[in-house]
Amino acid sequence: MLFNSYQFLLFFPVVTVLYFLLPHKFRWALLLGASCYFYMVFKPIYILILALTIVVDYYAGIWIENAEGSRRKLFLSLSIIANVGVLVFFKYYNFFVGNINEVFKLANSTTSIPLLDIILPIGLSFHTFQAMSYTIEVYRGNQKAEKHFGIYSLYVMFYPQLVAGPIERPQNMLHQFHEKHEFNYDDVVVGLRMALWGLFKKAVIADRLAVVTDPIFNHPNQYPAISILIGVTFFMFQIFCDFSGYSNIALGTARVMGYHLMVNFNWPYSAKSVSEFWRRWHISLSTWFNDYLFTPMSIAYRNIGIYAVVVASILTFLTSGLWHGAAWTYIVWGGLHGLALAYEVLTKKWRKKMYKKMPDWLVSTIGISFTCSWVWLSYIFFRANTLKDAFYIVSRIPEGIKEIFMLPKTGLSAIQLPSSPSKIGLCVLSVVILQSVYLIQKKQSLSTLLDKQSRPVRWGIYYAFALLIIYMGVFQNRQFIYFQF
Amino acid sequence: MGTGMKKFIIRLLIFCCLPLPVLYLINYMVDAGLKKSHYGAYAEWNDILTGNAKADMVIMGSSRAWVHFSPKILDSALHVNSYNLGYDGSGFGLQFKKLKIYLQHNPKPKYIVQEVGYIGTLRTITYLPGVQAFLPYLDDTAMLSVVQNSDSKMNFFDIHFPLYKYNNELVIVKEGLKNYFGHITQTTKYKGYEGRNQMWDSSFAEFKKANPDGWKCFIDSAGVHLFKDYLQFCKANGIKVILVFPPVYNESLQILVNLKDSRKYYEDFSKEFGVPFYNYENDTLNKDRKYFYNSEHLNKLGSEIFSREFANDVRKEIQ
Repeated sequence: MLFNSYQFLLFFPVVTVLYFLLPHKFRWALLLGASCYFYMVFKPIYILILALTIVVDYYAGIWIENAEGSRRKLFLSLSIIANVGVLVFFKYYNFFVGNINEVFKLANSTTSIPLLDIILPIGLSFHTFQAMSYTIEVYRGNQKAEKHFGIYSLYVMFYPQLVAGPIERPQNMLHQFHEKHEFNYDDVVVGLRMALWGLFKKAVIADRLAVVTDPIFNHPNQYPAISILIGVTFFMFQIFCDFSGYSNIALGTARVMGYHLMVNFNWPYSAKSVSEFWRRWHISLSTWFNDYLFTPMSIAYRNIGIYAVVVASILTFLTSGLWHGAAWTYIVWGGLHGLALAYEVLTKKWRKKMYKKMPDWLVSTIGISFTCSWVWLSYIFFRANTLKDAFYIVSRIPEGIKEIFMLPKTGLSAIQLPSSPSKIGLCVLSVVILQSVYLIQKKQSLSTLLDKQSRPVRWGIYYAFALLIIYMGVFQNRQFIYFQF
Repeated sequence: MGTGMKKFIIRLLIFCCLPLPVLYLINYMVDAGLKKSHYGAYAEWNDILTGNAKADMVIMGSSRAWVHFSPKILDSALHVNSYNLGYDGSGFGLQFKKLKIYLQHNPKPKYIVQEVGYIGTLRTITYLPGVQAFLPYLDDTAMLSVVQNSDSKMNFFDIHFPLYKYNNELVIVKEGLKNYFGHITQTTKYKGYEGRNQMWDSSFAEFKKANPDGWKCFIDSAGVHLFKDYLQFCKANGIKVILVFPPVYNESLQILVNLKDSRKYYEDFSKEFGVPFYNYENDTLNKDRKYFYNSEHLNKLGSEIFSREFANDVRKEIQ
């Protein structure tokens, strides 16, 4: 079920009201049933995959806790193999086999391994990573194994974060399912505010921008270079609003019922370095990779000094690229981020020395500009349909920059975009609204600021956003981009 | 239910209901304004639904009817009162529905000049072009049924939530309010017809490039049946149908792979239902781009010449 669907408009209040009306001991069952329904709306049969990994990880957790010595590792391995196995089969089988077949072709071999006609279960990468974090944490002794099968299932399947995160940790979530949540007026208001803001970002900004970016990325050779640059820039805001919008709705809907999910985004385009960008973008995934891949790798390679961090950064981001999608475009995207991090690690001292001589505002400007430019460049690979398309777009960047400088002579008619000027104007306006909200909340959190206002002002703001969503939102049952991962 | 929850639900209800009267009022004003407007397709729909499109001769078809037959010329040459119901971008199914709505609100015409073509006449098309024209009329069962049986099917919120049907249609909302407050938009059309003062554009060159092996018109059995039902319907109602294939730039016909097969359908209908078929496939206009703005559409100059020519040809059918 999509958060931006009419079904959810009915599902959410019904589940929430029932949740508060039911006695505490039955609530887990209600949430689990609702989550199963939420997931099965996409493709019912895939619930069996989830069920399989839930059963494996549930017992693995208990066995790890009860076992000693090498058997603990054995049970952990069993859990990881089950989760990664499912992921590899459904997400990467065709990718790997396709590449092997290409190698056969290059070697003039007639051998060809058949591809499978499989559809990727929605949100697979998210819930397998969340499930793995459970068994790893039990193995590390940071979390007690959950004995209640229903609660453990809910930990993996809790509908607000089931299909696109945040990828939670058992320490943050499991105890919340055991606790009794009373109806809390403030939580409900804060949650609904978050959900409203998330829906605004998705329906008014992201899906509006998609109307421009989709045709450009699908047929880049049909547009002038300057239009392609605008398309990539629009995509930068589209993906942020799409994914952070989803996270806002997830956090908000969970908060209404009294659950606190981890914050997933913190204005990433204000980051002064790529490493800071990753502390602000998809935080739950960054910390997952940091805890379970980057840090163990850095420790394992520590004998090579600073290069351990460099190697770990590159390998972690290549894996992160592959996590996002089974395509070379994502791997290159991850590789670009890995390279940027490696550069930042290797030049840290030199940059620190240089920045000491500069005023703070200049340091910030350089940092933000570099980071945004690099992230912008990497998005070409993230969004392009093929590696060939991505390189084609990159090859047109110099031409596009030249066309920007020629604009005073050529005028705006040189820009051809797949939408009417008034709709492009709305796209620009929506981005301006987004940035304005960022500037306002830089000084004070929006929630605090809203609480300080009188009710008419507060309600006026709610009405403005709600009406913008209803009347200016783009509702075409468009999925969230991260659902495909 | 605790007191906190009760308090919240009451406030939420107040919050949701408070703007509704204002939204319903604006919705009413926009609907009412558009029902008076002559902006775009509202001009014909408002004429039809208020009974102001009554005519002896009705011209039906797609954009090739809309921009090809000038009622002014037909009226003066044939001494009839004609009205052009040409529907831009429409398939025949939609044209037939438009005729039925026309007949609900206007007296039946003596003649229907039915434009036929090789693109959308004998093919089932569920796309509804210009759905905006239907929005103020969703309270009309026939108009709503047209929308609900198309790809633009409306949901509960579209129909019942105030102004939601105008989602992302700022220009239309503005137009409705403007007209509601008395600033009536005048139409540039004359009884549904709009001659286009346009020069030959590049669309045919692009089309040819995209279809190097020529193009094929789609015909399906449901489309053929519907057209037969229509001819039967007109016959039963005593309306004389005149089938017309208006001029097409000849290069476009040369690359139409199944031209002969398509034409045969109309020749057969003509025989089966005893309706005349005027075919302008070989008209002299077809050779000169200066009369067209693209391969399928005559410009104003071309359409006026054609309207005179057609009036002359069709005179013998008019009693």
